[in-house]
Amino acid sequence: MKKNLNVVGESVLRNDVVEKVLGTAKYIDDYKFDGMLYGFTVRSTISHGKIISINISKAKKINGVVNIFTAKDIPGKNFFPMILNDYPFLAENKVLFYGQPIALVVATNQEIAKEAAKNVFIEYEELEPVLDIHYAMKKNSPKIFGSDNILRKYIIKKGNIDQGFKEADVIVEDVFETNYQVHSYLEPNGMIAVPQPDGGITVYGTMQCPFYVHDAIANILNIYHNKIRVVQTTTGGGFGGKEDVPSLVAGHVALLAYLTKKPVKLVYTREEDFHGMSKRHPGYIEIKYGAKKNGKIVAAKVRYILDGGAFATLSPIVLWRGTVHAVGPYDIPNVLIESFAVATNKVPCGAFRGFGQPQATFANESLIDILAEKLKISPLKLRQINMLKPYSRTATNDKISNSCGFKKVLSEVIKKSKYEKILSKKNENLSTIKTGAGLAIAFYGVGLGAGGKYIDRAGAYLQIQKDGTVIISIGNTELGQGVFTVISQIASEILGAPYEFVKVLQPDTTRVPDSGPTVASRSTLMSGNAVLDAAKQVRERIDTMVLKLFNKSKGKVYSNGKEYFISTNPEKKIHYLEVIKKCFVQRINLSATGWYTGEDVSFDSETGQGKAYYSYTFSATVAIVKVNILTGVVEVKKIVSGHDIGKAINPKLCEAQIEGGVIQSLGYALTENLVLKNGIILNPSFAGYLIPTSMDIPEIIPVIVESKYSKGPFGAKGLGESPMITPSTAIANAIYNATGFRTKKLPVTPEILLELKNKK
Amino acid sequence: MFLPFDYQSPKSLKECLKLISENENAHILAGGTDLIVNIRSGKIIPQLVVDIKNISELSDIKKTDNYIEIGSLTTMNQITKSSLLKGAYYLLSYAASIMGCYEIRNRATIGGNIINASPGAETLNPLVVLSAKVVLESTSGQRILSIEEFVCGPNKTEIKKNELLTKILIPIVNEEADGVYMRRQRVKGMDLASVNCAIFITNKSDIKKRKIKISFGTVTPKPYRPIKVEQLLENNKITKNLILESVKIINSEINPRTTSLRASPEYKKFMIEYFLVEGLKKILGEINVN
Repeated sequence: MKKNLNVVGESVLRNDVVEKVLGTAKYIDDYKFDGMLYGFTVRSTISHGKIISINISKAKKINGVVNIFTAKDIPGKNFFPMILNDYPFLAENKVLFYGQPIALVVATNQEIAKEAAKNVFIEYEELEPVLDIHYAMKKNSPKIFGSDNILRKYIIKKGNIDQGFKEADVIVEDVFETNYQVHSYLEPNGMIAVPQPDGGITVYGTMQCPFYVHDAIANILNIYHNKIRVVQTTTGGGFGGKEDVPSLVAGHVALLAYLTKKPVKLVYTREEDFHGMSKRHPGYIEIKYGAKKNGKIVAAKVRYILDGGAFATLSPIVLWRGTVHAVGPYDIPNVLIESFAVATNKVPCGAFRGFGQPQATFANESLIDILAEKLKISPLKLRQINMLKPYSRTATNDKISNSCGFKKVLSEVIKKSKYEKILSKKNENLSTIKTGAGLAIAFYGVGLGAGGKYIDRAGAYLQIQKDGTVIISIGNTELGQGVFTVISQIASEILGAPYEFVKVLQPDTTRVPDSGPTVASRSTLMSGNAVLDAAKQVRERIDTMVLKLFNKSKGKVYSNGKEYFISTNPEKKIHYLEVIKKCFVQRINLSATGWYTGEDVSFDSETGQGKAYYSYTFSATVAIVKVNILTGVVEVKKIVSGHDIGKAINPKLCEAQIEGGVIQSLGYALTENLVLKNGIILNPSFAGYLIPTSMDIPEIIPVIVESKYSKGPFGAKGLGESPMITPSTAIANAIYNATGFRTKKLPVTPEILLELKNKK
Repeated sequence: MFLPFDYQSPKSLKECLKLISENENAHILAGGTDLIVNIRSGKIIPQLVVDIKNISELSDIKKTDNYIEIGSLTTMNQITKSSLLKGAYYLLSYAASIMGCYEIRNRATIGGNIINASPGAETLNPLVVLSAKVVLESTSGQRILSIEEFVCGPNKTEIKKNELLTKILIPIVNEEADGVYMRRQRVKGMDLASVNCAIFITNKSDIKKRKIKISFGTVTPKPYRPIKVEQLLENNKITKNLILESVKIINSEINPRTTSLRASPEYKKFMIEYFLVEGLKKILGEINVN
């Protein structure tokens, strides 16, 4: 059979991989500039209090210290632009969390800067910290945000909730809690700022969202946007942790460079990164389902609370995504969801792969298993009865489109995992090792949705050079997810240029218009479509030239990836390079800019009804576990995780995304346990906070289903976050199946399991 | 990464002992797997670092009439591979073999592991049940202490500022003996022990003559020996009730700190029962404790 596509759908070699494997890729700490100085951040050592005085005299005397700056040295506005604009670059009168930046030291080397930071003495009047969301929401608690400590709240009302529960034959309800999660990217946050002769500033660094950083620098320095340039350096992972807070790092380093008129480097230690950078929100979820005897869920009620920490940052939209997805991927006629992001005197929480959904999913996918048991229907059957399908309606009354391969995802995952066989297998009584299987399913709104529609656009610039090679600029960043490769494949396919000819340039805010953030699994869709737009314009000009060379006035031009031909005479071919050469000689413009805006979306703030997202990715995961009931140790043996992503532009990359998400979710389920006391993180290191090691990784079977989204590039939706959402809950459900202990907390440490066992 | 400090690298033990007797604030660098980490984190700001890696006489394992002598500079990987630490002594080389990761085991020394005296230190419990002794040398002579006397608590030992830990002596056991080392770790790859245990039994098949030594880590500031339990188990048939009684005795004697991030006190108590059952089973063969 003749292939329709040349390179899209092929697992071509990543185009950023050679330098990363050889170690020649340059991360931010590898860069040096002439005369460069080093910054270090002075941070709050209490969780809540007033700043009485800042004494810099001793620190300033240390040999090698150039200067020390505080909030009063900021020439522009003292906050970085992010939704509620409440997070100051440097604390002025009060501190709201342990680790909050108060002053900045700049010195001739990093050790001196660090030493000097220890010698900046801050006198506080300590105030009672608000550490617990329930206390924060009480009338009598200290107020650290507004009059009620509520950073944001939402409500979704669909149908008639009271009527719904009245109609139900069986009602189940429970409370679920999840802990923080740390992004654990390999490369800590860091930036270098270089002052420019015109008074402007260039910032290099590890980041997801150069345009956020650009805005932040304009704010702190009070200079025009056209005096700022932000360049993303090779980035060692982000997972959401480099979405909002790099704006803070960039603001700091830009301030230091601007005031000292020297290049300045500010790279965080791992410990600082733990204390100061954002985390996944701890979640508290009360959830209730009502169902008919036949398994049809008729009512769902959720109260979903996220611990936002000291400043809002991205909490409002993390909350929004979690809220929209809170009742699970089910068609339920009567829904009431109330949600709150609450301020506490702890590290501000922000974006993290999954963005509010893993918490909500843990609640709804645990409760659905509880419901199944009560109804005496299998967990699989109950999901099949209620899950979303084309034309069914979500909690926001959004109609699911044809791009819904949910049924296929579920059936493939069930088949490949032998879920039903393991689920129904009885464990021998005498054995202390119990085997179990667990299932969890989810839907995921691709892109920013109605919560971020005004920034949901993307630009691209594409140019074919004299020798036929192609350069592309996009506004999204390469974080290891492989977007440069996917973009190159799309451009190569449309242009008819060999894949190896295409290069995506280092993201730079002066190359393409603001394209929004690199988050929400949106890059393939948004930047992909922008590049598609640019490439199509150039391809049209190429086609005209091809027809001219074939002496035709019209007709369709085809490409096999290196040669062009026309349908009337497919044997006669003309090489890509020859056409490009001709175009150059004839002064044809082989460059174009591309643009894409997402489909329109809506959300009614009163009822929570509307088209929340333009498309959804659907997923299902089965986990097989072995639990030692004497020690509480859980060993995950196998995970099968399936995702309907529209189209896999590069299947190998998609499989790797699934594997990575599964592993991150495995850590969330079992070992990643951040411990705080009085608002202070007690284990700010990888010796104390444990991500899975390679030895902990089970057999992972990724499953890809392609149910095309008509507006996506070649039908693609998005994948980045989906694999992080279901595995942890599938593991928790498998633990229940193995042992009969239902955990309502993540992570499921051996301690929790043994506690449950004792209670029983 | 460091503030400047002086560095000396003596070539002989004599030279080293002279150096540390003259410089009270010297920090000894052996493998560096603790010292460098502590300097980096700012916990230690040294004036003088004395690197003992070049003192070749300290990194050797040999057998004498009464002891297996392990030089304090012997690395975990050397201990893992030593043919002298097989059989009854295997629990020590096994403990060394699962400490940290391979790269760390190439550097980390047994002397450093003892001196650092972390409550979960991999080698301490095996050394305690093997009745090991430490040899401390200074310009004024030598003294020998049992490992139990020597270790006082986290980062605390009986060593004096002018002394160097040079050797570890493990008594040779002629009787039919066997031991086991067990630990709980949170991930399968590199992790510090959340709770660990060593058991050593001599004359193991003769219930009247057998001697049992047990040591737990992380449940008290230093390795904890439940002496009453050892006596109880030594000359009695091991039953479920005896184990439960042992656990009861242990729980009345220990009070694990609640501030440990690696395991809760309740969990440690759970693991004590588990380790006792599993350890005794492993050494004595299948015993019925169900």
